[in-house]
Amino acid sequence: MTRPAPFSDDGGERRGSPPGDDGRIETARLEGVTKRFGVKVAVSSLSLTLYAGEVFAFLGPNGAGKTTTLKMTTGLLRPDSGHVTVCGLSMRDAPRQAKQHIAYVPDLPFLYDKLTGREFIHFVRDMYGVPPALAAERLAHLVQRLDMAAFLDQLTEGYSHGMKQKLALAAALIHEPRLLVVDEPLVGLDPRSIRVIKTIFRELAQAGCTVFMSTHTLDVAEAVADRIGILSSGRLVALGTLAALQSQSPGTRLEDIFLQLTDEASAAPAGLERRA
Amino acid sequence: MTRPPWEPQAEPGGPPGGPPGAAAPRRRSLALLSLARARGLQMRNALDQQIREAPLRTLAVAVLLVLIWVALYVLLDGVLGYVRRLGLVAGIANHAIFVHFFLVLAVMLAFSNAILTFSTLYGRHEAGHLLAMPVDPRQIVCAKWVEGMLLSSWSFLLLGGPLMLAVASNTQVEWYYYPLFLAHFVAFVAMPACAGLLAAWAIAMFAPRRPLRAVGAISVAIGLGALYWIARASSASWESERWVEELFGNLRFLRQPLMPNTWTANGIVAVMERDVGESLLYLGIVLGNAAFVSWATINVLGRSWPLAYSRALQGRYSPTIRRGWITGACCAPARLLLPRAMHRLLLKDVRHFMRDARQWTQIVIMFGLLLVYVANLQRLPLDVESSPSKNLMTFLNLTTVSLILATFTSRFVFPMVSLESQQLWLLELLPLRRVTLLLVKFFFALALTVVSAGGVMWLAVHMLDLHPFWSMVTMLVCLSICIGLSGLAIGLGARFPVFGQRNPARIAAGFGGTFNLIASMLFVLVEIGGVAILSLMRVSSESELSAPNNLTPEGWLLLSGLLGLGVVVATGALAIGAQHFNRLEG
Repeated sequence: MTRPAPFSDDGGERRGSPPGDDGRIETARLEGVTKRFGVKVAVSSLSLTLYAGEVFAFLGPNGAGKTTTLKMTTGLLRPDSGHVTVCGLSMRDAPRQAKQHIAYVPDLPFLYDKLTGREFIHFVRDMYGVPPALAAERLAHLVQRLDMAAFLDQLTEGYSHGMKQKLALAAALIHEPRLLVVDEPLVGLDPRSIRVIKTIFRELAQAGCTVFMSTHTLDVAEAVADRIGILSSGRLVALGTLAALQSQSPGTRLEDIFLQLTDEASAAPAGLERRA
Repeated sequence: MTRPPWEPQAEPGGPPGGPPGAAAPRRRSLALLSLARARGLQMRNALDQQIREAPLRTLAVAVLLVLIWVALYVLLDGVLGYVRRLGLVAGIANHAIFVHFFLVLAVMLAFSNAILTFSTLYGRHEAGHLLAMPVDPRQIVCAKWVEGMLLSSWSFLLLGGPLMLAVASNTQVEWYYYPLFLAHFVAFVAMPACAGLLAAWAIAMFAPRRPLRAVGAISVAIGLGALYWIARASSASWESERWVEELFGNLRFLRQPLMPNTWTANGIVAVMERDVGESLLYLGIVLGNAAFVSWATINVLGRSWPLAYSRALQGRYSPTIRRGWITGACCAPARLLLPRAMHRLLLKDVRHFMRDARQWTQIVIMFGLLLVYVANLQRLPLDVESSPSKNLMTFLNLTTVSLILATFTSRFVFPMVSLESQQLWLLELLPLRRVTLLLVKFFFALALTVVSAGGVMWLAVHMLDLHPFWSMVTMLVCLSICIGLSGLAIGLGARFPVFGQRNPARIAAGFGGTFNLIASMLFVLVEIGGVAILSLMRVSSESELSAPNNLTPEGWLLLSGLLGLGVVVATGALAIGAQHFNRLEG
């Protein structure tokens, strides 16, 4: 079996039906991005374009390079080669301007222990320069939506994981980002919160925001994502809409596609790749 | 495109073609101020919580701080009073004291700032959170630099304040001495803080994979170099005046006119001599240089902070292959003595300890310094050949070692059970009795304390050439202290576990940790008091110290009591801890 060149965004777009028509607004672009940690290649020649108004789900086994990719997108990690642009702004040349359009919620969100939830959000509001009156209005909606009223004025050190996730998401949305980058957003949440967050993601996409999330929950990806990317050993092995991925093997579920692709990718010798 | 229904009205001002909500901000407040405000709120909330939830502990901490402060004042007052009695020499001595005080202070501040800055600017969580926001990195670096300096204010509260008042009580000073002293102190702190920032940046940039190992290696190299240099500074014996003269002669470069510590010392001595003009001149020099160095450091480091953070993060993610053969070999003898399950548990604890540099570096530093002191006992200007001196030195050594050991077990051994209890469900599934777990931890702590404290004490009695009988008595009491302290820390750690807290320092700072520290100190005081009584009994019986066996029956009884006390305390604490630990639900 010969392995083609690493899967690229263009290939996926040709096969899958895109979420919008021509003239879609590009929110983020990763071009040939590579990142190594010592001898380990975490991400290899990854090219990916994200568009306004879509929820993009990043799937992959543990250690596939999902979090590394998210961190490079947000500017926390610098790629060894390749470029990252957000809303047309280079993350290398204009990081501050680019970050103005991004919000990042890591898998273990950072909160200041000795601040209350409200004080934390005020801090984030000030750092993004959101006018207090506007932020207060947004916060009121978010508090109601995420059911945070009961704990918003308590110190965050006493929050459960779910409470922390909700607060981090509310803080991330306070400046209305164009690109919301979320790492494992639904881990540790109760079913009601999962439903609310999935709905919020869809609404954000409808409002023109891009949600770029990594997840292990394939059901969520199936339910929410407009496009899905599968990463294995640092390489993008599949990209497209759910329908496009399923069109390769009609009748199969995303779980089967995921297992098949990641198994093959990890079994294949270096330099070989399989298209979805 | 539509806005989500839960969002308020669209904010105009977004780029053309962009979604309506993604507008550029109208007003960006200074990140520096926002960070300062957030930090102020955190401090207020923490203090409020501390006073509300633990008023007695807060009061105890405040009282202890005042006691330490008063003790330092008394010490410094005594030193300066002695210098004052030397008359004309005092003027020169004051200057020399200040020069060396500020030099040592600079090293301490640079070190503490480097550690603090590394954790805040290149650590895992807060730095990433701040860096993901659209903030000028220079402002973050500046905020952390200011934060580091504020946290360094302990140096003034703890050292500078007593020094300022001690100087005032020994010299006729005017009112303006106080504000000028404070100004000199504050101005001086900026430069060591910059040195700390630079050191943290260099570690993140050039040694990101093993930062603690790099710092440890550099510190050890500098320390050994300094010791070698001091040892080679003079061929004269240590107790001679010539050695002191030659040492200070070699240290003359530290008093160079271009050194900031010299400027600050000059400025303070000038204000002591009521020369306000000269004091202000030196203050201006320090301030000017501090401003320039700070500006340059913050700008250069601020620009490269994202890159340095990325490198630090990259280093953290880089896989490190660990075979574990060293720790395996260390624990191999235990395989002969312990059942297989206990041996595996012990190996796990040893590996955890050895791979956490925060733990082993502290014990290495503490006992390393003691080893240096003990190894040079023979060179101290004391009559170590006389029996009373030997007796006194041994007693003081045992006291020092025991007190250090008590702080070590309270800080590192006490939290071990709490940390293990985070995985209580896992232990619950193992075919092990919970008491076995406590015993393994006790044996591990005992081995650690016996090797470190016992090693130092053995070297001490060897260097003092103590009689074998008294060497044995000292070593047995030391062993008893090790047993008692290890048992107390493990037993009380199991009796007062702290769940949900992964930071050992916070576990040790809780009620149980404080209780353990107090109990450990009391235990050490009883043991040391017993040793003191034994020594007095020997002196009062006027027996020859070199006699192999000169204990009276009361002495033997007391010695037995001291040895038994350690075992009783350890057994009691472990029994209480095991009883409570067995009742815990996973």
